[in-house]
Amino acid sequence: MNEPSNNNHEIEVVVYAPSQPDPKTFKFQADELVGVAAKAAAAAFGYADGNPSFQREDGKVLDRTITLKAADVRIGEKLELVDAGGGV
Amino acid sequence: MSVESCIARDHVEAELEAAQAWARRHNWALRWEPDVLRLCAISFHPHCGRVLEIRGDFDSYRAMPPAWRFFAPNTDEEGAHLFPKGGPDGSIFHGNLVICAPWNRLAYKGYANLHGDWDLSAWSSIHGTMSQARTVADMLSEIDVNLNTSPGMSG
Repeated sequence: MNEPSNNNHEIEVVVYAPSQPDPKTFKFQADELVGVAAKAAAAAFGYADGNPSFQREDGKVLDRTITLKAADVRIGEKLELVDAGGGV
Repeated sequence: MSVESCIARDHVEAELEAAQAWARRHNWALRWEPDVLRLCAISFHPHCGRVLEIRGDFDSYRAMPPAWRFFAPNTDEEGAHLFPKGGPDGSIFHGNLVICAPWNRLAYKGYANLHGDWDLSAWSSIHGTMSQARTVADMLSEIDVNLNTSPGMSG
């Protein structure tokens, strides 16, 4: 079972990226912005650009402008790297 | 700009393992038809429950992006009742029933012409705040993300 995040501590999450079959594990600070954390994860998966964010298992995409703590990201949570770019 | 079918097929098939893994995680079903270079993805609208078949035609991939369309499953029927309505915060689901993104061939000049300013041959290097996807699985992911904010079908 995933644990609730505390104050500013490390949150370890499992991140999948669409372009690769296997996930990677990341540790982020709880007060890190979702967009910053997603950008770091995207770089690790080889994505050079875009508007990365994380998608929860229920399909919801996290707001890139809030912290992981504010987004209530849980220790051990599985997240999917997605592009949060909009329509044109 | 066209490429031989065998080259396009190799490009798609190099990306299929990741696409199938993505589909398993998101409960989508994929069917690759190599003879016609077509990928059929079956899912459902998360809000209205309609079963959707999204077909990507990959001739000339990766010189050109695929052409993505929505159909009634196992038919050639298209229409507003089969195309998702765009969500409130800038969706790829355009009101003229075309996916508007650099990774959909139909958005370009010569097709639906939503973006005469985009260069089709440079589709994989068009940057900005619009939807970005460079691989088959990334394109499916973008469709999924936008389906989750779509309130229903267009008609």
